[in-house]
This record gives sequence, structure tokens and C-alpha cells, in this order.
Amino acid sequence: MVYLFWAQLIFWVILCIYTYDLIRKNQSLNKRLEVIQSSLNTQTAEQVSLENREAKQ
Amino acid sequence: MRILLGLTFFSMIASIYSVFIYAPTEQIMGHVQRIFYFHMGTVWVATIAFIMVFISSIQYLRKESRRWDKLAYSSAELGVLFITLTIITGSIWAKPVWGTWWTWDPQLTTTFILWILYIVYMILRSAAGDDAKKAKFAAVFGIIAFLDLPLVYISARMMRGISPVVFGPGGGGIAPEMMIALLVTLLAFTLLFIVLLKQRIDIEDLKDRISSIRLEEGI
Repeated sequence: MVYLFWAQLIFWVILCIYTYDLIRKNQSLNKRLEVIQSSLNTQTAEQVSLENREAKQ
Repeated sequence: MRILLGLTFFSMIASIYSVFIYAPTEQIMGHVQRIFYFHMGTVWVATIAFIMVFISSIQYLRKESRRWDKLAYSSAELGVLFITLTIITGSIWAKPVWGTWWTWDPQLTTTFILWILYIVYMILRSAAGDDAKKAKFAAVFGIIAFLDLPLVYISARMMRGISPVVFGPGGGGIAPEMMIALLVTLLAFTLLFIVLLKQRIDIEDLKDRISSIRLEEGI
């Protein structure tokens, strides 16, 4: 019974650590992608407004 | 994806129930034999993962598509995870049954070699990064490493060691209730593998998207 307990414990701990790591990496990459995309959108919006201002002048 | 996650969760619960409550206690080994179900589940998933590495590596060399490379790399990582769990659970099972944690029996030796080969593959592939030439070299290694997999199964039957043969010719077989518990476990592990593989490939996709945006925008 002790061996069964340890086998189960080690199995679930390793599996949970791996799954948690996968989810964490996925979330952090998603955040990084969002940051890059939002900074690109800001840059584009600033460029457009600058162009509009120049056209008006 | 939500349906798949739900199915995986319920099949894992069903697997735990069938292993610990439904399946009868083995007469000679007692409760320790229950390790067998999860041990077989991990062997099953590792086998699927390594077959996928083999097929994806061939496809990558043929078509040079990054999709196949990502599939091979992700499958290899899961294969290494599950073969590690196989070795650990098998070792814990062996101690009370054989009286030792490890023995250089033909099947255990070939399994250990398989584990080392795919760890080397992982090192090679992660070192390759975006270099296509190195990725191709890793793919070739992935194909060669696969040749050890049939040896693991053949060694248990051709060179009879201490490892028990349960299925196939010369196998002892198991009780019908045990077989049901095993099949439920195999199904649960297969679904778990699909969920984890999807997550792992998503990570590679995200990395690719980020690096392509950075390249395009010169960030």
C-alpha cells in the first residue's frame, strides 16, 4: 500500500508541475503578444494622426 | 477545446474509480499491482508520442514545413515526460515485487536507452532554435531514435528477462474487470495526451507569431 501511495503521489506531482508550467508559459506568451500588438497599434495610431495633422497644415 | 477538457477530466475520474474501486485486488501482489494501470497508461502515451515524433520528423524532412517540426518537438517533450513516469512507476512497482528498484533486464535496458535517446533529441532540437539545418539534423536523430522503440517490445518477448509479459503470445493475460479498468485508463491517458499536446503546440505557435512580428517590425 505504501508503494502504491508513493507511485501515485510522484505521478500526480510531476504531471501537475508539467501542466502548470505549460499553462504559465502559454499565458505569459499571450501577454507578451498582446503587449507587442498594442504597442504596434499605438505607434500606427500616432503615425496616422501625425499624417492627418500634416495634411491639414 | 472545452468539450475535450471536460471529457479528459471525467475520463480521469473514471480511470481513478476503476483502478482503485472497480478493479479487483490481485491475489499475489496485492494493492501494489494497481500501479500497473497507470504504468501501462504512461507506456501507451509515450509510445504514441514517439510514433508521432517519427512520422512528423519524416514529414518535416519531406515537406520542410514548420508545422511538422513543431509537432515532432512537442510530441518528443511529452514522450520524455511519460517515459520518465513509466520508469519511475515501474521502479516503485519492482521494489516490492522483484526486491529491487532496478535491474538491467533486456526490456528495462532498452527502455532506459529510449529515454536517453529522446533526451538527446530534446537537447539537439532546443539547441537548433530557428536554424533549419540543425532542426533537420534533429529530425534525422528523431527517426533513428525511434528504431529503439520496437526493440523495447521485442526484447520482452524474444529475450525473456524478469519483466512480465501480460499481453500477446506467451502473455499471462488479466481478469475481465482488470481489462476494463486498463482500457478506461488508456482512454483517459490518450485524451490527456491530446490536451497537453494542443497546449504545447500553442506555445510554439505563440513563439513563432512573436518572433515573426518582431522580424517584420524590426523590434
